[in-house]
Amino acid sequence: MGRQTRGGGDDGYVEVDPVSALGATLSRLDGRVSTLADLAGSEPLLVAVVERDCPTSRGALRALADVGGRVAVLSQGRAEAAHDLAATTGTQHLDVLVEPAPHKVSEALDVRTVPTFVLFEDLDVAAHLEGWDRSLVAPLVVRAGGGPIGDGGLPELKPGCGSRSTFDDATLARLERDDAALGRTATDGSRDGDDIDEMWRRGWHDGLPVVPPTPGRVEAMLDGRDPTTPLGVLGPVMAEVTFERLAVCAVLAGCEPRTWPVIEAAARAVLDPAFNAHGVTNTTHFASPWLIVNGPVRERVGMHAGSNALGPGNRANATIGRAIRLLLQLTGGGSPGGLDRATLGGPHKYTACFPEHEEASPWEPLHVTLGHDDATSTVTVYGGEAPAGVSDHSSRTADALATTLSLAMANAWSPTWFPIGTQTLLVLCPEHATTFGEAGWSKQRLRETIVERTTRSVGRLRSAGSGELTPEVMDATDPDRMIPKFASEREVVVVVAGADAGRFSAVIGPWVGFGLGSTMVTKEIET
Amino acid sequence: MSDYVSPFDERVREPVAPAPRPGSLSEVTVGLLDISKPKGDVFLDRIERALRASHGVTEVVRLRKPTFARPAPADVLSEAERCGAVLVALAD
Repeated sequence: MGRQTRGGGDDGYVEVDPVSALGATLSRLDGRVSTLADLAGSEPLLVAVVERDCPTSRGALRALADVGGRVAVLSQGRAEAAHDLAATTGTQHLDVLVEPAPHKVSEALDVRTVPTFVLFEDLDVAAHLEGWDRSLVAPLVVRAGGGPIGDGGLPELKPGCGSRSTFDDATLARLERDDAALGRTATDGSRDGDDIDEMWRRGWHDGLPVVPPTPGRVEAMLDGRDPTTPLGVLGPVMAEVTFERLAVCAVLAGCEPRTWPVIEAAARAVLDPAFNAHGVTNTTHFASPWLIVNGPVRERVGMHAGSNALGPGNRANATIGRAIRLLLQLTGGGSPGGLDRATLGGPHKYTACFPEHEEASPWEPLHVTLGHDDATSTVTVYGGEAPAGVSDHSSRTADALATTLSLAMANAWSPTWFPIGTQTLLVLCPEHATTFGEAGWSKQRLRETIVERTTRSVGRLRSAGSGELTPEVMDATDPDRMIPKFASEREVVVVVAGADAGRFSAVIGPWVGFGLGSTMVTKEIET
Repeated sequence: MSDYVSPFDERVREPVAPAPRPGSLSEVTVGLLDISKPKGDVFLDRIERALRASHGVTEVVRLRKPTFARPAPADVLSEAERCGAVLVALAD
């Protein structure tokens, strides 16, 4: 045996080198390696040389999927292409070998087109067939110990496609980049035992990939806590929330177990009837729970209060907020487009959680303002919409800056909706907060000033031309009657967060007011 | 495939069968539920007139939720349960 001509040898222009083909080490789909000689042993072996993008190859594999016997597949291209080809032709159970560039095995077998069928008998090439000819493939399968071939969606005869072994290097590089992209876009992890695609199928997601809640991960999240511990009943489906179900949502969200105390306190807060999670979840409005974390726990669980505090980049901020969202959506049944009826929703509905930047604030933090001890940690939940930015880089006095902020606060809910009848959240950036601190303004003074400067006359509100007016404004008889946006400074909630640089603050508008909708709830965190 | 722990309370995911439908609105007490969205009462006034004039309805009970933003309280639900049919005026 050695180099020889095929097809009788008289024409002499085709040479095959079955020794090097049989001895080449190739990767299999399961990651192990094998040679064609290993697969053949002392028996006949039929090798189908194929390529993922070739329709004839794909049909041939479908036809051979269930023939039995000793049929091996040599898939040209990267492993990602071989996985995809096997998965989409139902041939994962066959011996599929991966042949990336430079395709020395295909060359040694003189493969010019795919599919090419090579029958080995006695470790030598006994037959060589290019393209698809059902009447010629069938007897090769029988010689390899197989049964009748399937239809495969192919006619009796179909030409093949160009073999990658005949392509130039630039084309091969492009094809292999395409192969690699198959791997990047595939989230099906079933071959490594962690099936993210199963989460999509079950609907256990918010549109982004989740971490599958295996029993081991849920147990790690609970860290010895009793999974049956009840936390309350959550609408709209009136489900009982237990530690276990909350832990599942935390795993799905990607939380670290050390963040559990914050997650548990946040869940207790959203389950408080005053927060009215049922309404916040179902409304057509933008509302979603915002979580504001105060106290020493912020650092302990790795939260981030600086640059992008309300944005991406920190795992604890992002995943704690997402866990609570998934609790409302999955356990509570508020699925977007189902019982969550939001007209537009917003990016904050994926996750909305941040710690106050207490160290950058000239004032006492939120939880102290609300009557909690400085040394405790708390989470405050607030049903709010997406942040509306307030830029002020020019005001040189606290008084002027307070006016800018008041104009922004007056727009909350809707620009002509007075009074608002509930709390509204103002997130001050450190530079703005410092302007007030250096001028000797207390947080209380800023809040009272905002109440004063967001008070409008009935005449002014009516003359704006908007029809969005409260009954107080519509029914008033005196156009000079003054209507405050906020009934008192208690409705103006101020926290500090963000980077040292930049004079950008944000107003986060509320949901329905007057005690009918949602009220901010604060819970202490057990640590 | 691995086993996964469910985030759901499976008890509340059982399908609920709809209540039996009355053969005719004239035979039953009709409840009209205002969820207290603006002008819901105006809308239901008109519905009530139409039901009485064109559908032979004689018994009407007007119901009202204190706020659209929360589930109906128990007393409103128990009043609704005494009706043979209930119409709910949603949205603004």
